[in-house]
Amino acid sequence: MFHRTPSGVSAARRARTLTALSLSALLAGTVGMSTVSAQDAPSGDISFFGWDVADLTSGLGLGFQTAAMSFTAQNPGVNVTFDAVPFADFVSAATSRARAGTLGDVVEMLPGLNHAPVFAALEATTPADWGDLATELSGWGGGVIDPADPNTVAGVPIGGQGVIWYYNKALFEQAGLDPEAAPGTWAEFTAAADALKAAGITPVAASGVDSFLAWWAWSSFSPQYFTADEVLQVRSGEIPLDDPRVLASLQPVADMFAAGYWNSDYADKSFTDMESAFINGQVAMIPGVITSIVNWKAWDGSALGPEGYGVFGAPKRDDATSDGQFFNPTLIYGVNAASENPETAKAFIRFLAGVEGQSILLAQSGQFPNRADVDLATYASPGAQAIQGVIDSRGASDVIQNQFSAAAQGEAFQKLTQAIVSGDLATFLGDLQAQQGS
Amino acid sequence: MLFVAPLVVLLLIFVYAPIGRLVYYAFTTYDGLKPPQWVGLDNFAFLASWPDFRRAIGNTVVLTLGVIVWVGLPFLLAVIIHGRRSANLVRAILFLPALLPALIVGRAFRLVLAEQGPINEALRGLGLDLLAQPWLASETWVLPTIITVIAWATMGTGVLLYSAGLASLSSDYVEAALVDGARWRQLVWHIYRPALGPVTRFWLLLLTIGTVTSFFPWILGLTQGGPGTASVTLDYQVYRSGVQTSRLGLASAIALVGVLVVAVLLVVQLVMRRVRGSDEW
Repeated sequence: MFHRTPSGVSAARRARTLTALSLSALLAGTVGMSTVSAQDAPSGDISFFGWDVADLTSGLGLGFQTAAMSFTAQNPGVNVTFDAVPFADFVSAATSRARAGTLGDVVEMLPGLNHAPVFAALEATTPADWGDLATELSGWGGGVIDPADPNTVAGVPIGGQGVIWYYNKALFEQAGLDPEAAPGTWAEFTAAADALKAAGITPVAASGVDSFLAWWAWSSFSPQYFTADEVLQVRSGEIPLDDPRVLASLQPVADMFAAGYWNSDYADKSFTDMESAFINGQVAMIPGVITSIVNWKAWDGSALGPEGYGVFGAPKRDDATSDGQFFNPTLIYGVNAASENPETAKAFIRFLAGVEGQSILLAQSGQFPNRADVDLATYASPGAQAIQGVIDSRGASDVIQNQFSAAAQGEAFQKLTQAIVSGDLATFLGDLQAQQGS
Repeated sequence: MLFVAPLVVLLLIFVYAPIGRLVYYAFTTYDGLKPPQWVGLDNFAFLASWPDFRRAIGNTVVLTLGVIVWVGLPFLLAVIIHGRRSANLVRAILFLPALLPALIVGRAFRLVLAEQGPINEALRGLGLDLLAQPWLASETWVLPTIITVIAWATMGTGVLLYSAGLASLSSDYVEAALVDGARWRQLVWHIYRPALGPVTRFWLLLLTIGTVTSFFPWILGLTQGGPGTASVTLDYQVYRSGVQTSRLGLASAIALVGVLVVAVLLVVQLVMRRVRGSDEW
């Protein structure tokens, strides 16, 4: 979800472009080209506004670039350009551009309410407006503009996202643990972490600079205390953030810190630092996501390799009242209400959401599909298959991580690590609730 | 009047109109796209009860105390190197950090001051483990550390200003004092300090206003307000509320408080000039 540092090398870019073109040709042959008749063929220039497209040579940027090339190859009258903004400044940049009339035709957004201020600049829509996609895609709830009207959405959900735990098999073995036995319960998790610690290995990765790893860890435990409906009730305000269940879902993360499982230099580390540390075997377990960053695709292409890591869902706590795994759309794609070429923008979104688009995004960027007819086995590694196994066995909740407003989420990222370190979780959640309601 | 009219028009358009909008937004909820909605004093009532805002004010006040170092150190250095053969070289070396963007300096110091960074590693290498601290990650150390980094970065400008002041000081005063048997410490206190008073007041005012309005790049580069909110300042909070979470009404209210603080400082400075009966700074 967050763009990587550009690392474009011209030779590498050329090689990737060739690979992308080959893949496009392959996909066109295997899944069928989504051609349209000449009379309604999309045409004209459209721009794609988002943060994932700052680097078109890796991550989601590479997937979008490849998809755009395939789309324009099938629709010669179309030109797709990418307009990138930093993730942290996305909302202010999008609203400023909308006021100035320079917002892109296709607008990328996080699901949920984080980018809610941008909704007003978009063409409100309903799943039915998108024909077959209404039933083919899961996760339409991620684009709901107003919980009171669940049928009106800001855009189309594309991709599948969730939080998952990864572990380094070699480090498990080094600590005398079975590298094929991922922890399933809290007792198994703490036993493994204690064994790792005793072997001089840092058990759990944490990143105090941005709090993202703690946030993902927290989100991994939430489905043990909330059903999907209850998570949405948090969003609508029916369940406040100082509800005891919110505290219970955060407690495991605090327990990890209290037990000394975090890397000692957590305060100076960002999540990308710890991504590297996991790859380099400096930390045994890391909470991550299943699409984009800190994920299986990053491990597959690294020194760790596809066989070097395992995955597990959040270990089950003794006081858990539920069980599950968040699995929600990666991102939402809306059409600028002031677009001069809305039909072509919609055609591009349809292409991205279709079998061909999602296959490209899976193969190039490691983005999980949110449609059942994309064959994961064809394009993904054992790590991705294992994640699908967790989703299948625990049951996927069709909601985004924790459901906070932009203000509350900003507050959480600013204070989460410090709240865990201080142990004063109740005050932290009280502050979050004040922001959620503000 | 006709001659200044273009300037007045430009000032109205580019200075006072935006300030007017800021004041208006401070009394609204506004997300940047939907029309602002008037909420009266709600934003200020929220600020009054918001612990983060109180923390930002407290942090800004503590950082403002850094002016003692930011002003005192360049003053002493300028006096020490005054008249010496290599003074220009020293001034140039000291001024180099001022040429670097605050954000870049902040990022660099973030690495240097990390838990496992070169400073702590050097201390540990010398067997001084007790002195190795989480400089930017501890609530106790973060503000003093920021003050120190800014002292390093602003020292060159301060030395330059004081050196300019010293250059305009007649050597007669110093020579007369020396003839009277004054020691160096007495020279500093009775000759240089009062002679450089206008420079000190000017530099002090500039730095004080800077703590309210221009600390953002330092905080962004060094700590991003952390740990927790331990180093969030007023202007960084404007960024958090306005840019990161798109609450432009609330951010405007915070900015307005900052503008009022600066206005009070300017009035205080004006009153002091009147009391002194001087047109000097």
